[in-house]
Amino acid sequence: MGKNKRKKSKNRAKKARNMKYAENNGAGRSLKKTAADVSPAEEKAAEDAAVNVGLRAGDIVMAALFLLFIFGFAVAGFISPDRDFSQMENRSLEQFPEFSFEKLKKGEFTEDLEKYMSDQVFLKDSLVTLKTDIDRAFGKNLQNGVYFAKDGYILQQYLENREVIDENIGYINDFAQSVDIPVDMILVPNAVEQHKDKLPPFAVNDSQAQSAEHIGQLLGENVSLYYMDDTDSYYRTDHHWTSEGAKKAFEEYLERSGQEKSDAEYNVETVGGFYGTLYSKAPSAFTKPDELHLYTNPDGEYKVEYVKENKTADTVYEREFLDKKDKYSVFFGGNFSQVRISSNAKSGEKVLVLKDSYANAMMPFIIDRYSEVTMIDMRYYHFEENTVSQLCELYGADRVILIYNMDFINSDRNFIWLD
Amino acid sequence: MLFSSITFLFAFLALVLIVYFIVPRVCKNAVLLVFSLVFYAWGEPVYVFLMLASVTVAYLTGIFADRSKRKNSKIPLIALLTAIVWNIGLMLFFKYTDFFILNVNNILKSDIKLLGLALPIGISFYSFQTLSYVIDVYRGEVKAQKNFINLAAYVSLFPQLIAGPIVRYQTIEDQLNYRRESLPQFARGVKRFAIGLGKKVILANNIGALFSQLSALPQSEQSVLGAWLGIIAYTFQIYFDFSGYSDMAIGLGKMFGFDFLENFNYPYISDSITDFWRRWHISLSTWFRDYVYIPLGGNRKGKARQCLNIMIVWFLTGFWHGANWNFMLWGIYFGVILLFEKLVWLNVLKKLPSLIRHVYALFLIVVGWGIFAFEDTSALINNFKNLFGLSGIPLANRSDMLILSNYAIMFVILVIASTPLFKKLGEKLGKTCPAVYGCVIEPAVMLVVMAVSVAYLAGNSFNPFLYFRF
Repeated sequence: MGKNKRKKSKNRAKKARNMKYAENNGAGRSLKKTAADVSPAEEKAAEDAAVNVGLRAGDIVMAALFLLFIFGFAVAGFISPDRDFSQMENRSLEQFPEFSFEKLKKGEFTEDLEKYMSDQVFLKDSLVTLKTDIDRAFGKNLQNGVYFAKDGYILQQYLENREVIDENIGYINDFAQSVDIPVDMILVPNAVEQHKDKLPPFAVNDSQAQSAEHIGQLLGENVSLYYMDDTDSYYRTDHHWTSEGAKKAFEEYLERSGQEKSDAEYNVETVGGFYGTLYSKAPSAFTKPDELHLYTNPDGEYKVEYVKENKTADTVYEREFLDKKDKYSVFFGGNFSQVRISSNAKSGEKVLVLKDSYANAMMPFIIDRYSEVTMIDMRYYHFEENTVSQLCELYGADRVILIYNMDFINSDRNFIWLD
Repeated sequence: MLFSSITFLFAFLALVLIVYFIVPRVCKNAVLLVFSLVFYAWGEPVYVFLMLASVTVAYLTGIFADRSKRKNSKIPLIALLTAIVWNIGLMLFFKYTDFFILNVNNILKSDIKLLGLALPIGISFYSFQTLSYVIDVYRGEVKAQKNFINLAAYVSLFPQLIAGPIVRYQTIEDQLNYRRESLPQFARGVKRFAIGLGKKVILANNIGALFSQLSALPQSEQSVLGAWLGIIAYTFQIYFDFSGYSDMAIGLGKMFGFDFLENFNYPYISDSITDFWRRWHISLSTWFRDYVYIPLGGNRKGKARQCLNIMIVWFLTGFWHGANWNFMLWGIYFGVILLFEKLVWLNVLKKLPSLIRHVYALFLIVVGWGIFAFEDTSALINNFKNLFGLSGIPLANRSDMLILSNYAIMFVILVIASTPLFKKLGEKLGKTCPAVYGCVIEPAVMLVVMAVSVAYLAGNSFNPFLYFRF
């Protein structure tokens, strides 16, 4: 930098300092430089000093690292192929938007482009993980609605929504009145309730036991409630219960409702590396994967019919999901509006099951106890030919079993379709 | 486009850096202009033409406002008035018309249709800049810019386009015409930009999420403590967001060889409101001082007139922040406090212990944000009732402890970052071990801050733009 300029800037700094206190005293117009002006000048002086002691190396490092960072990400993002789906976050990723002048004018094109850039950024998964763990380091043990709890558990916050519960139970009561077979409701608490002791201090949740009590009071006489208070086997990284939890609960249900036990024996197969839905909500690098256990009855013979999908299978397990991220979908491959399963179970009884995804893990045991099971998922059973009560008659069901987890009853809005 | 976006960092900035440093000197301003227009058109594909119209008006009126060339002529004055009418008119039309119509309708029970226009981003910033340029030409403080591209580049310069600071033409006049980018300046720009990005993405967005969570709670879940946590969260959010933007603007400016003036100077360490307004959004308060307060007579026409002038300036300052009653109220609130401090209180205050002065200033600042944060009048009143326990809500509820435990570390960081502590630490390290500090610590901090910021951006975290109303 030239000597003159340096001198000038020093003078200016001096001038500014002198004027700092000389508030607008008539010579207002020459007062346009303020205290704030000092710092660039001072910085300039500091810069010169730095150059003098040969600190240029620091500047080179700073500039080089910055450019490397910016261009590294830019080039890597450009070269690396786009992904359709993020297994880790369990959602579809934005693709390069189609261009049109209309979209450009409305600002939609650039908006979509930004989403695309952000979704397809290089090292996206690692960055999302990094973000989660920095937040954890800041002490945020409640992220995206889930708590980081003891023993590697991720627990979903439960806040009771009485309105939704009351509405849903109302629909269930109406439904129960429209059929003349026994209606049982298996209500499963979530991990956050059963593993309360693992929650971080000051965690805020409502009591599911109290919600269950409230539901018990609301339910009509023709619905028997089985609240599975003893369940304690949940995945650490997924919002579902394990096969063990489901098996134990089913046995308890049979016992408490006075039904005969099933005598099926099972082989257990273990699949590791399961990162569930709760992990996706707050993917931390420190989360250890779950194991998933598949129970198979070597003597069981089944016909699994996906009614709407026109598909049949001879097992409830869709094994290709074991290689994917969402391993829980190994049960049936997810949720479907109507699935009918007939088996070689001895009882000859027929049941209709109204269910959420918790029920999927219980199905391997249910189908060995009842000869014919019709599974209805109200989230997808909309605008159908028959109402659910008509289905009961049509299929000659002996019993209706509702299998729901507490969070589902507390939030789902599809019970209206029971009408 | 926001600075705090993947698109800006890894596409726009990368491109503009390459092109800018490749092209010959004569094209550099043109390159900045083109990229700045793309930057603006990114979010405002139509209003970019409005900004260009504003530039054209400034260019022409600037040339004709030069009095040295036209002595004893009315043309400079006409040019000046044209510029004033255009810029003020533009702001009135786009920013304030609907507000006036709304209030006229309310008072007269009339049914005048609203214009329903979207507010062009940054209009208050660039209108103030072009206006100050023409006024300065008229006053003879700067020469009229003959080169349209240079003037257009100045007005639309993307670092400061959408969220300030209000860079005055006189600040960068020389740099616009002849500037030399240098490595030390570039390095300082990088440092500054990284600090700004971190302030915005890591600090402001994080704590801002808490404010929006708390202010969205139904009244039945509010508590006095929660209301205070909310407004304190907002206090931090607005500072780190706004000063983060200014840091990024200053940093980017340096990368391209510009030196903008500082816009914030640790406002929360103020020990009076007078002090606060010397430290907060400095480019705005000096603008009002130089183009409103002093032309109105400043303190030269007696105490009474000075008081009136102060109130006018602070009313306008408040109203500048958005066409709404709360912003007006916010301006008047500070105007009254400043008057009070000027007339009596400041002399008393000086004698009080420093702790009391700081608590006094911070309390009034935080209460001020309580006015600023709520555009809906009933929400504003309700929040104040909540703050002072006048609405029958509990002192604290179960969520407050959870929030405190989740945000305790963040609050500590925010408090420390509001003081010059980090800066002083850096200076000290720079003196004791300059080589290690300059070559290792500073670059490492920059890299970590950048990486963490990018992680937050990639994680689709809460990332609002607070200045749509400006």
